[in-house]
Amino acid sequence: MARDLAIDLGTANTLVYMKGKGIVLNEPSVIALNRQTGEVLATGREAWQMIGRTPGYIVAVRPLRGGAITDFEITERMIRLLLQRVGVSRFTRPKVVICVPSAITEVERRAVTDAARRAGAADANLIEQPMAAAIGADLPIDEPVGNMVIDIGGGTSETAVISLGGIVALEAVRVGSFDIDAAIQNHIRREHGIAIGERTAEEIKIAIGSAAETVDEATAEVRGRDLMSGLPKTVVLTPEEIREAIEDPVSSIVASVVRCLAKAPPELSQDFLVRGMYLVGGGGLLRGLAARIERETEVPVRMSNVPLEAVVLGAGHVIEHYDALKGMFMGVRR
Amino acid sequence: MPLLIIAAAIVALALLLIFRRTKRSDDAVSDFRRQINALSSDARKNVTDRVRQISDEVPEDEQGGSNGP
Repeated sequence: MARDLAIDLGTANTLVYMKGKGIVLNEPSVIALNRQTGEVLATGREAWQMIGRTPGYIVAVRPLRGGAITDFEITERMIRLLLQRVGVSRFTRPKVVICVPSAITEVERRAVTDAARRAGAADANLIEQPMAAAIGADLPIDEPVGNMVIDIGGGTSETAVISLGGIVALEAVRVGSFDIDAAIQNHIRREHGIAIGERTAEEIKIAIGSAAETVDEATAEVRGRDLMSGLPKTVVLTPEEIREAIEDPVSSIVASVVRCLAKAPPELSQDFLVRGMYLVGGGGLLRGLAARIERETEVPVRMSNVPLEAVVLGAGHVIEHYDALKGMFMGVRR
Repeated sequence: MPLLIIAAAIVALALLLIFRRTKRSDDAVSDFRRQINALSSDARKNVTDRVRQISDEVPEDEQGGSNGP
């Protein structure tokens, strides 16, 4: 008998929670394929290490962008392989709950559920990421009080106001930490004439990237390919220039939080001043982001204890209480 | 006599409809209550324990925002 599963199918990482066991898989959402034969060569961490370093016949891709499936067939193969790794076979077909961005279209929803069913799930249901994040971050969403959660993922950022087990106000933008990495890549290409890969851009963001001035700022050296000469070149980057380079995606994220606050009913708005907003998702770990949101909204921002796992833990709770919580699935709401 | 049977059938039908409607609204109330109870902090104790377990494992200075391992 298969154990039911909850899957956080993120643009950056895929996490799997097994009923009664907890998180059993946490891997990058990357798949490496042989371009000529179409065979899968690696998935997850192994495939992630290949990004930008493969010979011509291998391609390492992320099949999700902006929280949506960009390549249905590859996503299905990736889900199938991930499910196989956690023990799902042709004879053990579990029920699956998948977390998706709340703003995905009907077509995108169908693509995710179809991919999961074809990959071996007996039944696939979807739940909004901010709702799962609020459950996983242990917010008191069963009470009639305003809980605000900001989930910043690889491809999407969502802010939701939740009360009495339901979403009251929601604001989503298809901007996430990959857009921050892309802004760094573009800046270095434009200002320093160097081409760098997406992994290097991410390393720069982790090393010196920030959304607001911080106390421990340092410079960083980056090595890339000079666009003029084609030779390897090293330049020194400052935190101020990276902050300026990522201003567009960061301000889009902050603006969406402000819009969500404006949508919240006044009775719930006053709760935020006391309880604050909760930041989850890998993008929320960007230095100074909590302080920047706090400064622009004048509402306290708290970081979840488990920013990367909150969504899958919330979905895991739903799979543990499947019958009581099935009314929370997208498209099933009473 | 036939009139009496028709009247009885109408009354039975009306009672059945009223009963079904009450039952449906009772179902909605109990489903909502069940959902709220399943979201309570007592019901989420498992999640809370797992959160505590994970946050104990993660070093405090882990900062920066990551898209990969």
